[in-house]
Amino acid sequence: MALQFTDLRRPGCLGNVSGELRRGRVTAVLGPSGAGKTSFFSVLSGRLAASQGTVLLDGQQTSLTEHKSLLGFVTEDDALLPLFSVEETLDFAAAVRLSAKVTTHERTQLVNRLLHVLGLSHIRHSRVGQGAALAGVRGVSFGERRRLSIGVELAGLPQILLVDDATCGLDSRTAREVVATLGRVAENGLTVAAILHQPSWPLLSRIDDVLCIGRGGYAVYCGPTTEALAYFASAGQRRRTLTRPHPAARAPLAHIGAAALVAGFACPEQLSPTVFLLELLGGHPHVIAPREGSRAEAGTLNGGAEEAGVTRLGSQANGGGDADACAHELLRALAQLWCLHLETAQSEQLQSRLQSAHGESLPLPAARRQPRFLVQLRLYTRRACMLVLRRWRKTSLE
Amino acid sequence: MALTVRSYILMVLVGATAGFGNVHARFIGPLPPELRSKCVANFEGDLHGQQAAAIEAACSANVADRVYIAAEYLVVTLSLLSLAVCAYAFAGAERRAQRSDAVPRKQALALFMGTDLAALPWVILSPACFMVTYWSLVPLEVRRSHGPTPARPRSVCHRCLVHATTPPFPLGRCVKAPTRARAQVIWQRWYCTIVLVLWAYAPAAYILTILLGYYRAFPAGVVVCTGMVIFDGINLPPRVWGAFSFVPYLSINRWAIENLYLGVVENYAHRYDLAPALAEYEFALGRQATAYAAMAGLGLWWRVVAFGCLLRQRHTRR
Repeated sequence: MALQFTDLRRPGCLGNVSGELRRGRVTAVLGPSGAGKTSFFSVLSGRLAASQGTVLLDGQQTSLTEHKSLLGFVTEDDALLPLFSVEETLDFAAAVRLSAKVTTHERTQLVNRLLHVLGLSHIRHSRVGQGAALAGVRGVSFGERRRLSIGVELAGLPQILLVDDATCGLDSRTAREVVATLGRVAENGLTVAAILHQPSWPLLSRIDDVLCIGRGGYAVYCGPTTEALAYFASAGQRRRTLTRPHPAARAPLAHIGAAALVAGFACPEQLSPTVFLLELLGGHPHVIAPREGSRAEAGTLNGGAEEAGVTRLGSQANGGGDADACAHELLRALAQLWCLHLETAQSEQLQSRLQSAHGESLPLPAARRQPRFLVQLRLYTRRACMLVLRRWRKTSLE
Repeated sequence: MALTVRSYILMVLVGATAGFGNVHARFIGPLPPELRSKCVANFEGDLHGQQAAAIEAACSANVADRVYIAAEYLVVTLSLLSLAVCAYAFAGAERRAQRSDAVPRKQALALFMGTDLAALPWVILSPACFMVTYWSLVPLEVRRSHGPTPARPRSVCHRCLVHATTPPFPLGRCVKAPTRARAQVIWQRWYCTIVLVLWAYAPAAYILTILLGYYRAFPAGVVVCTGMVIFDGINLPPRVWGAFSFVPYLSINRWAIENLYLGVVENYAHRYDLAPALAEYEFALGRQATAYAAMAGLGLWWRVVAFGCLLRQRHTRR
């Protein structure tokens, strides 16, 4: 299920986010801390309301609050009960999220499949723990906990999976495992988006798409990861093309960030592409804007930069004045540039979809309907009682 | 502490402490009639009627205060215990789990009720531990009244029991069935009251844990318990509150103390005259059911508030 969002705004956290999460692909959401990545996910999952914007599910305009069960949102902190095993955790998650019509056999099959996809089959009977030894029983590792958290959401059979801070606190190998897991999940036909904090370039390049959200909540790029650098490098050229009179253009770019977008932004060789992207998204003035959009010609960050004809953005934009204002201006300009790019590429399709899809609602698969209240109550009571008994045993062991 | 074996052991200890407290109260009552007459005889000259009444009142107040203080301490201890045990229900991993689980309101309600129901075995069984210890220390003195023993009636109505346990004793007029009377004191007055105190205080722990987190919940719980003591209408009886005389009746402690106090009264009624204290604290013998209903209602109301807090907190990232 593809999820398109246009001009999503929320005062204080989201400036303007437009883009698309595509079915069967993993999208990495990249941006500096406080840029509004989690807020963006919260808006998508209906936990926060957007003040403005449109969301299309498979081309149909809809309110995501009505279809929360289509979305799985893996939060930043792993919400797992330490005294339950991996298999029990998944089984409970499936039981409480799926219809009571789903039989125990079907549920077991689903859990087995999830364990296989997540690569957790070998620890299915291990207690989740708290990352350390628990009453003599070692808990699962942090990476496994993260994958299990993803599995808990997948147990509800969502169509779109949002993972907040997918690799936070994980070493590179474990982070790679988590990303590989997300890839396997996407291969099963799901739309997957994950927030990544400062991923390594090899890790990021494994991911299909990237959504770049700059400081202030401005989306400046959403598309294939491999094309992201080229896009920013050719920003200046793109600006010149797009600011020509175009029927889809909402506002001319001439008055915003014109100075900042003269040449575009190429990644210097000394800088990791990920760091470059994050610096750019943070609007840091020391990201270098070369006169030509070529990475080879970009020069260096230090003394040689000036000589190579490279100008620092801070001094370029307002003569070395307020760096924050400069950054804000730059990101707004990039966001508008991205919107124009998007509108140029998709305007006809998008507009027709928006107009045709008013009032239509998406069908909800029967299996995804939640069980009745009494069934849920029984499940939660049973789980709480089991928790009491296990805690009892744990204290006895201690 | 959670709902572990330690919480049951603690109830045994609370029972032992309360038992000793009660036995202590038993020995500090007013003087028995023969000693009282000796005491009066020590005064030189005739004792005026007012002086005699003052001595009587002082003796009654003495035992009444002892009984009240023991009951008050017991209720405070039980409330703190309930807070400490039930604070774990929505703390730590459980609290994080509920944030992800309880996104739909119906699911949140199921989670809340399920967690609350899981605490019921402790609420029901731990007072039994208390009772076993307590009643092994406290002599059960609910006894047949003096006088000729007529045929034993099949049942005793509540009014007869009240008469039989309220001084002055109707000697020979009413005969209690000891087993039934004892069962009433032990199970109805004590057991049910303790169960209801634990049950009614549990949502206070839920609210504090949800709002403040596990580690800050207990200190805040102490403040809540102190508030319940201040507003329980014992030191400041309801008549003093004027237009706000309903306030003491919103305290769980008031109803619990009334029941426990009356339990002691019923136990030692043949020995001491505690009627003045009943009037002073505005306790009433005949409203046991009202007291239970009030405690249950307050517990239910706090649960509604706790669920509201859970709904409010379910999306937060804290």
